[in-house]
Amino acid sequence: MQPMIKVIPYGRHDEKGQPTSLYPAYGATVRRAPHKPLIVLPHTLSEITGPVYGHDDIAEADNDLTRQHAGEPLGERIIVRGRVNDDRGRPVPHTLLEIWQANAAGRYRHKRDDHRAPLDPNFSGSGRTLTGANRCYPFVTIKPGAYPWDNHDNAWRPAHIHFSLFGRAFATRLITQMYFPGDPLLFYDPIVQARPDEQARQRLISTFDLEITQPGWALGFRFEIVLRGREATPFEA
Amino acid sequence: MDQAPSPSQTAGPYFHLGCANPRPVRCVAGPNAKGERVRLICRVLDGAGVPVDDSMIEIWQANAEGNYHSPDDPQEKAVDPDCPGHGRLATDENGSCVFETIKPGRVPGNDGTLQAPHMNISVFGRGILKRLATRIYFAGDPANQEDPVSHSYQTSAAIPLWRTQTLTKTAVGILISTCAVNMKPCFLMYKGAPRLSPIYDLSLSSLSDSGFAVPVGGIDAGALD
Repeated sequence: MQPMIKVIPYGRHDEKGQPTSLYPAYGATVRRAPHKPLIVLPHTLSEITGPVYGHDDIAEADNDLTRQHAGEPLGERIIVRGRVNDDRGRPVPHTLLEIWQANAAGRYRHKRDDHRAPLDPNFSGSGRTLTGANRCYPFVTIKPGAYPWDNHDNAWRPAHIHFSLFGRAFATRLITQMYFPGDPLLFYDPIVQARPDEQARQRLISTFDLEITQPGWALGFRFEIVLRGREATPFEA
Repeated sequence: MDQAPSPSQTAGPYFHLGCANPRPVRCVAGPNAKGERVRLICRVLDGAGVPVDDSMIEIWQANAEGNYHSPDDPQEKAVDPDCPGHGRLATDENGSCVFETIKPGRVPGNDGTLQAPHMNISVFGRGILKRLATRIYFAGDPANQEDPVSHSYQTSAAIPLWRTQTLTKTAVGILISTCAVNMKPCFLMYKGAPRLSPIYDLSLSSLSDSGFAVPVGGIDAGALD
């Protein structure tokens, strides 16, 4: 008999708050979404643990995408800031965030992006940071442009920034996208629309924030991220 | 629950910029890590059998002692500094990527049990709106008989998932169950529609047919011969 390990599982998602895997309007899901019912796996040590990153993994300019080259990138300079909480409002400190995005013209610095828009020699479009002890993260970047894609006739992705987060556990791993308020393309985008719940869609849209905005320098946007939380703290169990 | 968790979104085709290129992790366990060396060749195929060249695979595994390199693992065992246990690679034009690692030890399960050696796998990419999570077990390991996850697939599926040697390219659609030991490559395969793969869902609140008795389903055994 093994020593008993007390595992406090992470909460299960409300289905309405998450996209369906199969959303035919987003054509690439048709051949890539599971077609059989998924199997619910009880959380064990394998699911409640995860890789840990530290400040050694982060370089000084990693979270300022406007300072990674000799010159400044073209485009509208923005500050993106927010907190990373769990679903009970508890902070998730020291977690790795990675972002990637198109440049101001809507072009990724990626060999597979053949959009007829210019690359910017001063913009790579990737950054990373850790949440601090106060659970906040900041990025400085430029506002990405919208770009066409071949999902359907006259398809355009709304301006967005990709976010990747680890949290503390395999169970909390999340990749999502941040959008901008008031973007008319949001209504037409099947990736945004792939979730049934309007409130859930709203959680993907950042808010303009005058307090984050720095006078004479950059507009500020707030994007709060919520990861799954454990059902109780070890102390409550 | 006070706040709903943020919705997942596809990583899209350009995740290399933010994830895989700045931080590829091929070596899940270094050359000095304790344990049996394993080379794991993963291959991702879509529902039409076409290699998926724009997906990303992440691995999370325990060390040879069955201990995770995480502060949330309460076991009183020594951490192996040469086995961080995390890997991450993009698939290439053949839908493949190759990890170097060790075979993990048995990790305690719930209720005083021991799980069979396994790796925890995430698949991201274009067309994948929610992370696909699954596990890889090791063919021929007797511990599979005792593990509720691996054992149920072994008995409920129409095919012997653990006969690694039989899993050739005709075994398209089996995500779970195959792995390489002793540096002999085998394949991890993921297939979309028609879905044959058991994909674990770590997020859904409930499923009507939850539990381990759910067959892998839809497998035409003849397709494996």
